[in-house]
Amino acid sequence: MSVGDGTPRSVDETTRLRRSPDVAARVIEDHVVLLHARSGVSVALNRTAGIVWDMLDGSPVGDVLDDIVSVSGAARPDVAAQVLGVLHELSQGGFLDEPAPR
Amino acid sequence: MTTLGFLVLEHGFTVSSRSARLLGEVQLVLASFQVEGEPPGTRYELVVGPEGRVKTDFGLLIDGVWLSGSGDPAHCLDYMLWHVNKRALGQATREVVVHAGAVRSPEGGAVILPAISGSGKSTLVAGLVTAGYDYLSDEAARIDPRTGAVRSFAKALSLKQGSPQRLRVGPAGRGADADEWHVTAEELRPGSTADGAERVRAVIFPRYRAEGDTRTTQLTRVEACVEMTRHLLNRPTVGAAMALEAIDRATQGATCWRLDFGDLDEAVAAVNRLVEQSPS
Repeated sequence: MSVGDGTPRSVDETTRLRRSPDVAARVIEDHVVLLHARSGVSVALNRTAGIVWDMLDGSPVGDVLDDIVSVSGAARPDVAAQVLGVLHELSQGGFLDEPAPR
Repeated sequence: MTTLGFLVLEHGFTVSSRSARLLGEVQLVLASFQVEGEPPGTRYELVVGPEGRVKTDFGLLIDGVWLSGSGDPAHCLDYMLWHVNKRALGQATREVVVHAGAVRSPEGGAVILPAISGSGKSTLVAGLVTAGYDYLSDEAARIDPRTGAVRSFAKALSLKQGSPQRLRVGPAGRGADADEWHVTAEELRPGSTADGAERVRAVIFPRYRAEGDTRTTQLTRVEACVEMTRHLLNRPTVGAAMALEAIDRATQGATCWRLDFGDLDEAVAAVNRLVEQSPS
């Protein structure tokens, strides 16, 4: 796994992540359901994880955390622990990739 | 050599054979898909040896290429039907196809039963049809992505060895020793073949467990949608977005359940109860 081949390394605050173009997302009730077009793997994100999903545009994960903390007022270490865990799972499932360096 | 033409969804094909018995079985299974003439598409040939081309008693050629041979004609026929299903369902472009049994409840509305092979869905569909439900499919729920309605895929049911329904119905001896045995919905209950589009009333994921207790568990619609994506048959063809849209629309207003069962009569009774709890 390396930057540029589309597969994320281990996720930390410097990692740039974006939603994989191979993934379809649909809001169903209070969840966002993701379906990977090639692997067929699917997952349901709860409301909070769905908000994080929408924010993944290739910016560093640290910026995403800052935005969430500023809106929610929650403690940054708590937000980081939760969000990094979700992002790790999503990247392992192939739902995220890293944009190639510009 | 006799040749029959069929159109299964968007998959046109012909089946040729010198064996009236084999062609008769093909007609039985695919009766609702037979068309006049010979549509362009795949050419299946069920060969009865010896014809100089085969070393076994029976063989299957697809577009002139030898695919399968066996001493048992049922094996060649089953292989051909598997190929037809794979092509027709996997390459359907206008509908989203879920591997599922499907019936229409007596009060209206479809009950779909998504499951992998071996989960007992064909046997459960046969039991439900016998109990008064109309037959849509034992293989595929065809979902219109714009409306979420389900259409029939009414090939003959394929019942495996040990299916209780297999022991109850049909003319004795017709493929009685085959691994898979084909029976039409009309043989189960005359007038039971449904047509048209049906809104989904209940989604039930059946799971047969030999000797197991019958147990139902309610699922959220989100859980059911995620589970249904695992039974998609044409995701690579229609794409993930269309598949999700269809599943979302199909499940709107439906109740969703998991059904573990080890006894067919108990399972049918359980489905009746679940359908009664679902909006008509």
